[in-house]
Amino acid sequence: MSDAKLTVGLIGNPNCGKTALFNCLTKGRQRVGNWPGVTVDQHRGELVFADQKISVIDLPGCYTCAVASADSPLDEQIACQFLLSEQVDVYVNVIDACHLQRHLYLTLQLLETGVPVVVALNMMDVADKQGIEIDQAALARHLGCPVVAMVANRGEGAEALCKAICHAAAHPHCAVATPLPTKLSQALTELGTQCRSHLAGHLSERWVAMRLLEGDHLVQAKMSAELILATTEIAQQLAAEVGEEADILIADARYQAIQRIVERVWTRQAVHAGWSATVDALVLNRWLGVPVFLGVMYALFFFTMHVGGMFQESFEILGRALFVDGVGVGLQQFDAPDWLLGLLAHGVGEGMVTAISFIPILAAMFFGLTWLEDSGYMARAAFVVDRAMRALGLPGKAFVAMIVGFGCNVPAVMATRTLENQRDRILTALMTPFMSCSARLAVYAVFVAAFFPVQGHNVIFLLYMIGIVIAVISGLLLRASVLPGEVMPLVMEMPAYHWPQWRAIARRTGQRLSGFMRRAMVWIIPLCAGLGLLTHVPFGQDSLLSWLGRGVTRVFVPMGLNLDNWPATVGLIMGAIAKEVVIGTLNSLYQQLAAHQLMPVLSWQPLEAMQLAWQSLIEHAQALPSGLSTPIASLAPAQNLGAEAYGQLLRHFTSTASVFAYLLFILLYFPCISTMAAIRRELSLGWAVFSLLWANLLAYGIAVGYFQLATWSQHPTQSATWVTAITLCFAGLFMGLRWLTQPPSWARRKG
Amino acid sequence: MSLMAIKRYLKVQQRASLFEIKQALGLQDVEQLRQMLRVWINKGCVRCEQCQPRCAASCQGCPAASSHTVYVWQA
Repeated sequence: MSDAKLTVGLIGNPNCGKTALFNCLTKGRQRVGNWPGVTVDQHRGELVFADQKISVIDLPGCYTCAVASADSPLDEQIACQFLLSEQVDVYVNVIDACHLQRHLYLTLQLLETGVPVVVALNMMDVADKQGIEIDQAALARHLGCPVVAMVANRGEGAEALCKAICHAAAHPHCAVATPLPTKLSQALTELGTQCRSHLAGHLSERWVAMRLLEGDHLVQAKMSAELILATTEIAQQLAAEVGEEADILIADARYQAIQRIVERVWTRQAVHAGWSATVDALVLNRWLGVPVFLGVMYALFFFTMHVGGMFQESFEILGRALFVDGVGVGLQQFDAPDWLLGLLAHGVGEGMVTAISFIPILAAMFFGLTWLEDSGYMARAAFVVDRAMRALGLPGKAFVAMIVGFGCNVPAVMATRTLENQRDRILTALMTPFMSCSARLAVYAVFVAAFFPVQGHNVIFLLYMIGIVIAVISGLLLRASVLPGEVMPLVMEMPAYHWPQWRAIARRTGQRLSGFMRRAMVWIIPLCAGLGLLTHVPFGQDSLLSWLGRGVTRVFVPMGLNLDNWPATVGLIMGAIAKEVVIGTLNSLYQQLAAHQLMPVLSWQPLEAMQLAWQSLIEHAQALPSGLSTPIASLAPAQNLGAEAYGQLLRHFTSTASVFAYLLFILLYFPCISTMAAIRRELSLGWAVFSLLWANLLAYGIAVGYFQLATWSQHPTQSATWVTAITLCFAGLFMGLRWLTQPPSWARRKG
Repeated sequence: MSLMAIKRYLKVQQRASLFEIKQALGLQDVEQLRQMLRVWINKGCVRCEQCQPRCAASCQGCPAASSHTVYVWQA
């Protein structure tokens, strides 16, 4: 085996299948998606081909490798920065065969670097269906580099690509240079000579000279003031002689070269528009687009709660048999004290049972979301919602990040890197935490099962929609106050529809699910143990946790929490760490409250538990057709399952108004520590703190406002006072923010 | 397909939609045209504006009609 490792950079336009190729080559498990902007950072993987070690780097998609300004999308900057800083042996330029003309611009730029390039002509299957024919040999001849036809998501062409990579590294080819106007070519030679002394080993002089004349922000930042001055002089002289600026001349030369190449290698036979056009006519229709989107989301929640809920009880029975009864009986065998039994079996054990029981629901949700993403529908949804968003003055591309937020808010915040200016990036990062992540779904599901057993999926759908509406309203308020500016139009490549591959969906669902379980388990065990201990630390006549909880609960009384319901407050506080632990905390505390009254008798009967789980599954499966009208009913706990916790939950929340207010607060308040860290990393500490305060204020105001309005008839004076106070507070906050960022003329004069 | 052709067309027309430029210059790929216009936008020569086309009021609406972008020459 050769010791020298080849370094290969995968680079291409957004949504051309780079990550699919990366996974195919390295057997990696990076996330792939049928929309642009899935990869926002670089990933590395390894492979061995014919005794040759190859290190593969997957880069975010970019249309060009010239960064025009500091405001360019961050993902594009990451890819361009890579070209400058990394020593790569071969670039694999991934091209979508359906859009050859568009993708060749980046190809020509890569060929100019002087580094060997192999073109991976991906999605050949889709091109075939569209009647597109590409003369690969002619394309290779015109570009002066190898061209390999591929279907990356099926692994077709991978071996040929690896061969081409090894060959290109061993025998660097000479790329065909883009023909340039004579004056421009002379200017490049002159500037290239002056660049020579400023360059690191792997960069070609002519390429750097070209970048400088194109005004590449990243290259300029690396060069001396003297060289920048020389560039300006040469560019001015060229503009005076030719009548056009250098960057335009260079770009124009590339477009003309592309035109010539495409005319010689690309043909398209007329084919019937097919079902794709018919589906687009419906889902992108001006009037039907939004209703179709809402219908699809409704169907997703329906599927999640109905099909996922079918398995929930079985998971709960098996989880309880293992973690509560099994652990409890084991401890009793060793004469463990009651407090240890309570802590491990009823605290940690119940917490784990709660997390495990949500596996089927979340799996169904992730499965549905991944299916929609991979099919190409989600990109259409972003396009449809873009119209409404832009009409409100918000960036349409923000919705792409917001959709990602349905899974988890952290990648949603990172997805803001694809936005084209800092103001839109900030605005979107502040909007995404209002999207209901999968962890919040677990909380909704428990409350809905307990309090809205009939048509509960409507309540969940409503909460998801409220999240979107609040995100949009929040964006509007911020745009009118702290983040004013023009809206950039949505320029987004519409991916082709394709039938998702079940294996890929299953893998992605598994990844998302394991991420949820990892986070849940990491926090649930220590938190439940800690809470268990705190409930046993005496304070006066009660426990320390109870005393602390009651103190904080006073703040939440206006949104319908009773002082006795301090576990709900502790759940909210723990939820700030990660929403996955809210239900675990509630379950643990309510179980312990119940245990104070009556410690349940534990008996470990695994075979009986398995039999019960199977019976439950059969019963739910049989009830599936008839349950279409009441799907959430299947989530209601059985008489002997979790009855203690559910009983406490039903006892402590006295009305559905207080439950809904609590769920509104869960939806809108502080998302979690990880999301805050992501906002801090992507924006700044200041914006992370602002997001925290903004989300908590909105959550409190809306939850209290809702509860007071819902219970108006019971205490009209109190409700009127609260609603007026909240309205005034929000108006004052909005005016204050607006005044701070856009002071009135008299204040500016005084200043 | 040339940046200069786009410049000449927009300088004469002053403002035109993506569809109009595509038709006038005989281009096939709208996304490619958007990229080319981005070069002029980055130079500050072209500004893009969102507006409702006249046809949007009377038809069922297609994606092109409802997200109508007009490019204005401003150099």
